[in-house]
Amino acid sequence: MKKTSKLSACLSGFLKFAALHQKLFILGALTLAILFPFLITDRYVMRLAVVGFMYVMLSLGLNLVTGYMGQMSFGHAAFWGIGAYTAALLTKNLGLGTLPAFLAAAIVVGIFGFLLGLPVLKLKGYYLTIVTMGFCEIVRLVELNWMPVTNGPMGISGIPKFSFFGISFHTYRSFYFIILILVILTTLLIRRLIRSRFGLALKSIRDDDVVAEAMGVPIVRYKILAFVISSMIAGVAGAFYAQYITYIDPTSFTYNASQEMLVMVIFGGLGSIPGSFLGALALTILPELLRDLMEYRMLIYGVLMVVMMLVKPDGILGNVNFDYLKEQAAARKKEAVK
Amino acid sequence: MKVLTVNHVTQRFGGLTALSDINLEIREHEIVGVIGPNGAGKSTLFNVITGMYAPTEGDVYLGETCISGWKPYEITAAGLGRTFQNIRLFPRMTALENVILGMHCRRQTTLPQIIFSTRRKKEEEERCRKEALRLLSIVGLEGKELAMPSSLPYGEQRRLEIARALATQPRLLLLDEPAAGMNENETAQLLEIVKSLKSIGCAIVLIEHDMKFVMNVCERLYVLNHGEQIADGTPEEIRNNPLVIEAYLGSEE
Repeated sequence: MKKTSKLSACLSGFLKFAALHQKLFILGALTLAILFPFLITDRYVMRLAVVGFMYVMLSLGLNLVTGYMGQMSFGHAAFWGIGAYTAALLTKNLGLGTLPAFLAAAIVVGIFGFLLGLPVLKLKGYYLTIVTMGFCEIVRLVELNWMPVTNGPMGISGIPKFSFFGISFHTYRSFYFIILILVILTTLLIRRLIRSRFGLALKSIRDDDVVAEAMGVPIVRYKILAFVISSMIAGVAGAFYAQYITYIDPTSFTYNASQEMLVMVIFGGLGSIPGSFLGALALTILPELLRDLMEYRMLIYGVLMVVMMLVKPDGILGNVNFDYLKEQAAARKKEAVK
Repeated sequence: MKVLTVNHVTQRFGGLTALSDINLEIREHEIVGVIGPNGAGKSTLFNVITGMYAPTEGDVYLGETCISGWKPYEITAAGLGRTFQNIRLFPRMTALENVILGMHCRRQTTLPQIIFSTRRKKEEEERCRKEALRLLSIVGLEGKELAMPSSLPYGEQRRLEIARALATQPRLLLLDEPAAGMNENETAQLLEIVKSLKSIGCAIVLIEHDMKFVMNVCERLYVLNHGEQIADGTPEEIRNNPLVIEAYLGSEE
C-alpha cells in the first residue's frame, strides 16, 4: 500500500514538473523526433516508428470523440480503411499526387462520418458502440465483395509511393518525416480545438449532456462535428498507410483494428494529447518487445490491460490537465508571495 | 413588460395529468416564487418552460416569442437560464470552465477561427475569462476558479451553478430549489445574492420549500397543488389563503 502511494506521489510530482516546463518538454520531444532518423539507421526500428506515429495520429483523432466527448466509437478502423482505399484508387488509377490524395481521403471519409453520425449520434453509450461496430463490419464486407473497385480479398497492390509535385519519395527517412508532419499538424489541430469553446462544449457533453443542452450547447451538432473531424483524421492516416505500405486488403481494417485504437486511447489517457502519444507508441512497441515470448505475448498484454483498468481506469495520463496544473502552481506561488 | 408568460399550459404523461391549465406572468425585475407540496408539479412546470418537455396544450412565451416546442439550447439562447434541483455541475471541469461554458451561446468564434487561432478568437477567450471571474465574484466565489466542483462545499456548488446560469446572460433566471439542503448561514448568504441579482436586471422565478426564504425574497407567489394552480398573490395574501393552508396542512375534518 505504502509503495503505491509513493509511486503515485512520484508520478504527480513529475506531472507538476512537466506542467511547469511544458515548452521545454515539447521542444525536447520535437528535437528528439527530428534527430531520431539520423541516429537510428536500423530499418526495423524505423518501420516501427512510422507505424507508431500513424497510430498516434489515429489515437489523437479518436481521442476527440472518445476522450473529450466521451462517446465510444468502434468505427474508426472503417474510416481508416475508407481513407486508405480512396487514396489507393486515386493514386494508382488516376495518378494523383500525395497531397490531393490526402485531401480526397479526408473529404470522402468526412462524408461517410457525417452520414453515419447523423442518425447514430442521437444514440449514446452502448447503442452508439454497437452501431459503429456494425458499420465497421459493413465496410469490411463491402471492401471484401466489391470486386470491380476494391479487388476483394486480393486487395490492391502496387500503390504508388508518396509523391509531392511530381517528386517521389522512397526512403524510410522521408516516410518518417511525412508522418511526423502529419502528427504535428493533427496535434496542433486537436490542441486548438480543445482549448476553445468547441472543446469546452465537447467536455460538457461528456460530463452531462442534458445540462450541456440546457446551458445552450447544441449537442447533436457538436457531436456530429467532432465525429466528422475525428473520422477525417483517421481517413488521412489511412491515405498515408496506403501509400506507405503500397498494398492494402480488407484484413487490415477490421473491427480488431478499431479495438486496438481504442485500447491505445484508453491506455494512454482519455482526454489527453500526451496520453495519445504514450498509448499509441507504447502499445506499438510493447508487442514487438514481447515478440520473443511468442505465445505468452497476448497473455502478458491481457494481464497488463486488466491491471491497468483496476489501477487507473482513466489511462496513464487520463484527464491530467497540464494547463490546469500550471495555473494551480502559479496561483500557489502568488499566495506564497503575499 | 412581461418576461415570461405561461398560457393555459397542460402537461400529460399518458393518463397522468401532471399540470393542468397553468397560467403565469412574470414581469421584468420581479422575483417570483412557485411553491406547493411534493408532487405538485413544480419541477414539471420548470421542465416545460426550459424545453425539456413540450407542453401537451398551451404555450410558453419568453418576451413576445413563443418558445413551446423549442430545443433547450434554443431557449437558453433566447434568454432563459436555469439551475437544477439536484446540483448538476460538470464534474470534470473547473469552476471557471463551468462558468465559461455557460457563455457558449453568446460566443461567436467559428470553427475556422478556432483552427487558425485568430486574434478575434484569442480576444474572445480573454474576454470570457474576465467575465467568468466577475460572475464568480458576484456569487462570492473569488479565488475558487481553479477548484473542481466536487471539492467545493455544498453551498458554494449551488452558487457556482447560479454563476453558470448567469453566464448565459438570461433575461429570466429559473432557480430550482436553490436553498435545498443548505444550513442557515448558507441560506442567508444565498438570500443576499438572489436579492443582488435584481440589480443585474434579470427576473427570477424560484421553486423552494424553505418558506422563510420564499417569504423573504419573493414579491409574488404562485401555489400549485396536484398539478393545479390554486392561488397567486403576495406572500402576505398566500400566507392567509385557506386553500393554501389546506393544501399544506390538510383540511380540518
